[in-house]
Amino acid sequence: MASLVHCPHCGVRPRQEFTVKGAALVRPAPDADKKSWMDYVYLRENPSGRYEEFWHHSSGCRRWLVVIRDTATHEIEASRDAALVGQTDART
Amino acid sequence: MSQSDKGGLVFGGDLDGYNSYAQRGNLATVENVAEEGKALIPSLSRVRMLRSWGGIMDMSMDGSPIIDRTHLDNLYLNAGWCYGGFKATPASGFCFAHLLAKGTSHDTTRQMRLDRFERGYLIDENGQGAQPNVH
Amino acid sequence: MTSYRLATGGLINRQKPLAFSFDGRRMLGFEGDSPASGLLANGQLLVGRSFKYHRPRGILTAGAAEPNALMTIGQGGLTEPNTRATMQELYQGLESQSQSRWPSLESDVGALNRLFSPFLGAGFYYKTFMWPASFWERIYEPLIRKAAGLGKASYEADPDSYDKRWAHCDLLVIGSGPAGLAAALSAGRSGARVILMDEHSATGGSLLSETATIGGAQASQFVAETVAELESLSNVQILTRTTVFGWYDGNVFGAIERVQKHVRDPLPAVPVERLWRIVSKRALLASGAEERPLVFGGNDIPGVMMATAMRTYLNRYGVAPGKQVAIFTTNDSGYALARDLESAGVDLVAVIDSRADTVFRYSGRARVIKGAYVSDAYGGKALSSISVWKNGSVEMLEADALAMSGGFSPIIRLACHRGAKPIWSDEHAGFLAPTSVNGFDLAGAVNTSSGIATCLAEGAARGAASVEGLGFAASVATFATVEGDIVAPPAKPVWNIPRIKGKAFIDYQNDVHSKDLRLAVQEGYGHVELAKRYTTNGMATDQGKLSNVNAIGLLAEARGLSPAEIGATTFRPFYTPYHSAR
Repeated sequence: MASLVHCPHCGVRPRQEFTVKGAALVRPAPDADKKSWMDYVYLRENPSGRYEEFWHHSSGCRRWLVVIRDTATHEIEASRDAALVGQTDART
Repeated sequence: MSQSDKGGLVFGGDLDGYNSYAQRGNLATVENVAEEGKALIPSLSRVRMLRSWGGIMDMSMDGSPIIDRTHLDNLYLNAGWCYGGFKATPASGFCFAHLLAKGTSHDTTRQMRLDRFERGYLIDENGQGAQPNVH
Repeated sequence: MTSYRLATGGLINRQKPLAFSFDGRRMLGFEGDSPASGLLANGQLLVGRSFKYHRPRGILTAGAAEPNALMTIGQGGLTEPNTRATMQELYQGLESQSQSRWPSLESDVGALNRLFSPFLGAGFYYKTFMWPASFWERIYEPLIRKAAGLGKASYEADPDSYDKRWAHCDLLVIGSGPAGLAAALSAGRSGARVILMDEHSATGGSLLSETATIGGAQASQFVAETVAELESLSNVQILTRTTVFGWYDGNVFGAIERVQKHVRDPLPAVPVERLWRIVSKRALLASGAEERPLVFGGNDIPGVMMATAMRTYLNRYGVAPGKQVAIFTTNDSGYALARDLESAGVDLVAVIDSRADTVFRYSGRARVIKGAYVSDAYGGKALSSISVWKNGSVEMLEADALAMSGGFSPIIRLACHRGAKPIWSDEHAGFLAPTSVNGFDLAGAVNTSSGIATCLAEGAARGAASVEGLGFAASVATFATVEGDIVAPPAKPVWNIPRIKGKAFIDYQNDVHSKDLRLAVQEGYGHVELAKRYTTNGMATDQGKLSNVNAIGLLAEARGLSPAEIGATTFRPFYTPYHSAR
């Protein structure tokens, strides 16, 4: 992976075309308690293994993607458009 | 960028920008770092790069370290040094010792509290927000 | 009593003489020479001084692993330090300077370091320059920094232009020796997109140093015919002068092409070097095996050389190493050199075979001393004699050139760039590539195969298999009978030679000798990672190509463990150093 990423719209593209946001977490409801928001913004699991991330194809189709990747081997399990995964709140 | 006493130039580096435990980086990062090096010292273009390596950086959410006591008695925290660790070791050690000995933070590290995230007092030198991979 | 050009032979073009200079001295070479072969042809054995002890050093190899013959080429903004004389191509008007010496190569003030050598052992800087503390920054460090350094870079602007490109293919073949050529042939004929890369200026790899025949034709002719067929295929691309320096995730490879590094006045519209990023569906490593030096006293005296290198200079460049040549070997490949030297009319003093029970029957004239070893080489700036031990008694032999062959280590580095560690094999006395990752395979000497016929067959089979996995119908290429090839099975390594008097070098470039490694064990730094950093073994610009395995063998014997238990340090890009020019 670290050199090539599969974009569902554009195919296999070099890493330089992408911007990585970070963990693909589910956003809490606007009226959720402070602790939920605190965890969402500041706490991360950082596993060595399967990890879901938001990637932006900045120099390509400019769609947000959810990439499931192994953080130890860099193998990509899946790469899908964020809208299809139901994650539309991927803005920074 | 620094030069060892043997003559070799050691320079770097960059974050890969994504979580990784593989400790090997990628070619794109190597190219970026080389370009940055050459921008600083143009005559590097005729000097050969010998070896590249990558490690694991413990990135905090605002790119700044945490030196603080915790909610557990006698348990103190000095972590989240990102990639600034090695050279900051002497000062960090001194300030940490101050905290352990006196029970209060040294002036220099007064703001490096663990609860700064919760309270909104991030030390965000890059102005990037809670994005550990861009600091 | 020195090296010289033979009247005939070699693959150089004797119709095209080239004038070049070394330390201001004008010399003549031929098209096809490297500065290294040109220097040897002109009898120039001394090419540099070592880093720490400033010992006189000569040319040790004929390829990428060269630790001694580092020179500065060019002037002004084009100055390029630390260029290996064995990899550079000779061109008309090439100006080269030796390094690490003052005021001159012949009389170097730094040689006085040998008087301090008892104090300059491994890790000496952890034990010296400590007192008074204030002296470190003002006196000791500036002095050390002035004495240190390898070559000098220029501050002037670099007028050359550089380029970057992507390449995509079905199969990337790394190395164009017998296995690589055969693989490219099988895969190319099937219609798959193949890129064949070789770090040298000519394809053929070890075949260019061979006197064996394939179907009755010279090995070099076989190479020419094979390359002609490959070049006729539009789906095959051959890139010479291109070193693949790293293997990255996604089967992405980084490579550097020396487009115009062999030209004195490069065309401005064409880049001088090109960085390639190659995205390949499959890759085949056919990088061959590296011969190991033997660790005896004075194994760094100019005139002492690797056996395969001596064979390359003889057969490819038409250069004889000396007038009284000796060979010290642990395996049968030493006899291939012996045979070739005698056919070229070079006087062979003796073949010293470490094996008392060797079954190889040498049919040449030279004296064969079995069950013997060289403990010391003598000579200062040029080899003059060697001490040979057999059954407890010593014999002094006059020799002005000594070939050494300690066995072969597969060049597996690229296969280890993605994190997997190599695996020690007792049977092959070497580290083998880790279990192959899907899409990356090995063929030839790098896969422990020996002999031209076996490498051709394996390369052809693996090349075909690689592209069949992608849906191409490939048939395995076949080749005519190989004759005259002395196939050397792996032999028992000799890590420790007894009764050594002088310094026995493991890492030539960083001046690490066997005592340093034993000192590391003694002081508690016997772990392979600690020993490396404590002695700096394997940390020079050759990144341990010749020294890693010898060091591990020595550590193993010193600690009473097997090399498998010692393990290897981490291989990282770049296989050979490259310019960060872009």
